[in-house]
Amino acid sequence: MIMASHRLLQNVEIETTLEADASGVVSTISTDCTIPTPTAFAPSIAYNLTWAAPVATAASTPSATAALTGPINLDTNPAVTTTLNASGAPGGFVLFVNQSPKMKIGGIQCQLYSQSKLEVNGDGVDNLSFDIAIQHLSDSDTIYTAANKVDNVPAASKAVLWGAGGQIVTSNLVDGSDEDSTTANGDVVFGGSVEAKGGSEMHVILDVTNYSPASATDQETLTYTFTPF
Amino acid sequence: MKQLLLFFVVLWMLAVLLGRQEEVYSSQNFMEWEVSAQCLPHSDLEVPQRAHIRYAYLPSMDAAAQVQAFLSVDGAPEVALTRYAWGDPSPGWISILFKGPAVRAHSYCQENQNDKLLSLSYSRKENLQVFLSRAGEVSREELNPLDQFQRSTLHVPAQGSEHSEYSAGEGTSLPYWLQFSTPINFFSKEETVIKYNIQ
Repeated sequence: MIMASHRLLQNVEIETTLEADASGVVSTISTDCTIPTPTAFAPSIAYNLTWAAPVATAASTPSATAALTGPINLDTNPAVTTTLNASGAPGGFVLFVNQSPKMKIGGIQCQLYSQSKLEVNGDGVDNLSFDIAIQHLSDSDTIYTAANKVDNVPAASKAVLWGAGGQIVTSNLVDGSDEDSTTANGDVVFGGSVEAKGGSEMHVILDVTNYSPASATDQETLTYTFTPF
Repeated sequence: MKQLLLFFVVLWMLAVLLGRQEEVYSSQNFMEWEVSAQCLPHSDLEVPQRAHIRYAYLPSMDAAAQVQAFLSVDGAPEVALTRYAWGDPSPGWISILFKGPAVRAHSYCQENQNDKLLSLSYSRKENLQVFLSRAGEVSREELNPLDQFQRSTLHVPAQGSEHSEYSAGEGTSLPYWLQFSTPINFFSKEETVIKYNIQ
């Protein structure tokens, strides 16, 4: 038997070169905002006037409460001060003074808007037994200023509250510097106890002499106009 | 005479057989291959190719506007946001958080199967910033600029029977969150690129 006398010797080196991927792997992220419709909110407010029992030694004294319907941002009913025969008001009228309730405009996100002008006008029928003025928070609670009356303002020439020529503040109210918080959230909220953040007062007078006020007739409709910028 | 002839025939056949066996052995030269394989450490990384966020603001009478936001990853069904924060990271901005999409890696040719570092970087845009959140809360840990991986890293433990699998994000044992921040009054579409790297 003859055996093979030589051996075939080969070196084979398999080298796999797969470097760690230093460049990483990318993922593309895109965002898209649905532009909302600007929406404004304002509550209704109703006053309830009561009188202390007559006494022999002093004049009768009135008191009042105010109730909000549709409060904004969980607003609470404002406290009301009352003054009979207040300065600036006709004789026999009671002056109610309370902090203006919160109002706001929302739905201005994803747009250029970040501030709002605020105007007001009446309903075209001026009930002379029931008048409303919008005043500074710092104004006296026992003085009525007829020049600030707004319920007789026609829609064609609205009274500016915030904005150029405003009777409260002459600049727009800017989101982030408004009433709702210290940080911006896209809503512009008027109200509260700081005038620079949208606060103001309502001064309301009501005839209580030889007159019987009734909620069905002694009411005014104010239309607030928010104009975002 | 016949016996003698038969003897020679047998002898010839034997010689033929021996000759064939020699040929067989000759064609089976022993080949000894010394084979060595060298495989450098390597990791494959699977990440989402594309993600899209759509969001909307819903005005509310009772409180601040609500935010609805949805994230879809590679065409999968949308998932809702985890949370949002007004005024973050600065006034006039909003931050929207989502669970981070799943990323998976396999490592090969590595004796050491310790935890790996998953790093995230991104292309910062004027109206879109991205942050890494580790617990679903608002974060200030902004992702690194592209190709810089000093920060924004997750320690990802080895998994699987071979201890060569790594995963993080939605549906894994190591969730993370991505926080997208944009100005409230920004009204255009925006796009960025997030780069994942594992080492």
